[in-house]
Amino acid sequence: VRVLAGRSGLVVGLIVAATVAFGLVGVPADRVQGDAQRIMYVHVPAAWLAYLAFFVTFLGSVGYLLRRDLRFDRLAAASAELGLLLTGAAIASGALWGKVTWGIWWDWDPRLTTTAVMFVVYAGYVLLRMSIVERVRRARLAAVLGIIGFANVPIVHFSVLWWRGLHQPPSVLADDRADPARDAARQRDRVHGRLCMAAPPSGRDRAWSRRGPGTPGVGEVTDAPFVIAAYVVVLGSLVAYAVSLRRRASSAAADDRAIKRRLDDG
Amino acid sequence: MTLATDSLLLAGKDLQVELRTRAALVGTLTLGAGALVMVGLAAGPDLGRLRELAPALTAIAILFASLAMADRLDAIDRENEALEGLWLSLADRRAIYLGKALALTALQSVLGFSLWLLALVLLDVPVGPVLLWLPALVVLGASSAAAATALISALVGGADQRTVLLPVVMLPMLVPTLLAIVNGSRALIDQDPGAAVGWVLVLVAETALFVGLGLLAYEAVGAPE
Repeated sequence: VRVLAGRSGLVVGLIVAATVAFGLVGVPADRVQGDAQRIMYVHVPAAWLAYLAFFVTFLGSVGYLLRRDLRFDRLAAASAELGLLLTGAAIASGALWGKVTWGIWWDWDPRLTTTAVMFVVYAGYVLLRMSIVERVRRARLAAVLGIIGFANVPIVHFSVLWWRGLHQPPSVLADDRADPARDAARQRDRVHGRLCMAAPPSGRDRAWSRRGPGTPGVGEVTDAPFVIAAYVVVLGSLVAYAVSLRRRASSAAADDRAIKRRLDDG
Repeated sequence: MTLATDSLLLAGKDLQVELRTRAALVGTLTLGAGALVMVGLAAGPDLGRLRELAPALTAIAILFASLAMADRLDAIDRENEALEGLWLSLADRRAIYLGKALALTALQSVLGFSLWLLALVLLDVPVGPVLLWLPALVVLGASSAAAATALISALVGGADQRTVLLPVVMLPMLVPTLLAIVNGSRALIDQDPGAAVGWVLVLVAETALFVGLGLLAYEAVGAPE
């Protein structure tokens, strides 16, 4: 365990690389969506991890207001940053998938709109933290916003059930998961139905033309650039964030050393 | 004194300050009117299109003018350490929140009503008997926006980039209010009061939610630096 913990970055990197390889090459193309389905292997985890991150922010915020311990505040802040990044990645990868399957980058669908609102709320949270220098005040105000902002998460999740829209209903927590065959059939029906009937005119025309006689399936129209772009967006943003964290940590350590030197010098 | 009395006194104080100077109301009215003219220019000159977009354009103009008004009232309280005085003198500090929300409701109602009058002319909104209910919708919209704005302006009050932060944090919170005002006023313009009832309930629920949140959280967020 100690060896693994010491090399946790390498282990996580290997697991991610194996998962990416499996998602890109190991899994066969979806019968209906073709290669575009591979975007889901990064889009859905990004969205779920964003929910989880915002939940941790909520817990950290409640913890701070109850205990007034700045460690809770740091937990909430770090988690909100990660959640914001993952929400952005989920929106970008979803737009890439939408362009391939719906024929449009963006639709004012309830799920998409509420996700965009959630993104702005947590962008406000991060901005608020950046605008207040005094630690205790920053922690207190951010904790209140972290609690209020979490109300968005259930709204985003249930938006596909509460309102009609283009986005498919939840699949991870769907009721019909007990029967995989029925689940697959329903998913297929949903995709067909949504693509052909519910899509806005431009998307609908494209979906019909792709599904028409003698034309390839939706996903068979050259999707590779979209799939690769989605993987680059999600994984690239995570790597960029890791690099920025490392820089911030080394810069903070350098500041600490400089302060210590100044104190030692008298 | 009770929470209600203190709140009414503080709301009266804010309104009196505004009546003396009229700085916030005149400034925000000018801003809202300017915004209406600009969006009318941008979306026009097709009157049919302007009429179709009138509820959304007017609501957006009112919303931005209301944010500027909340910012102005908050700034008045923070000048000359007035907030510190209030904070120390009140037994129940939630009265500051309620007083601010009440004053903002009154001022934003005047603002909303004036801008709607202007929109009737500029955007060629058809006037029918059902439209007489519009002032009630404006007051409900103002109360919903004021309940949220009073809390959020206290939250971002001490931040460096307050003017930018207020709309960034505030606007996502006001999405249900915005939708309710736009769809409710569209229903009234279409002479369909039945369709407006659901949106009125959304405004009432949003007001109740933010007043509840404000009463719970104001002590934590409103403390002066």
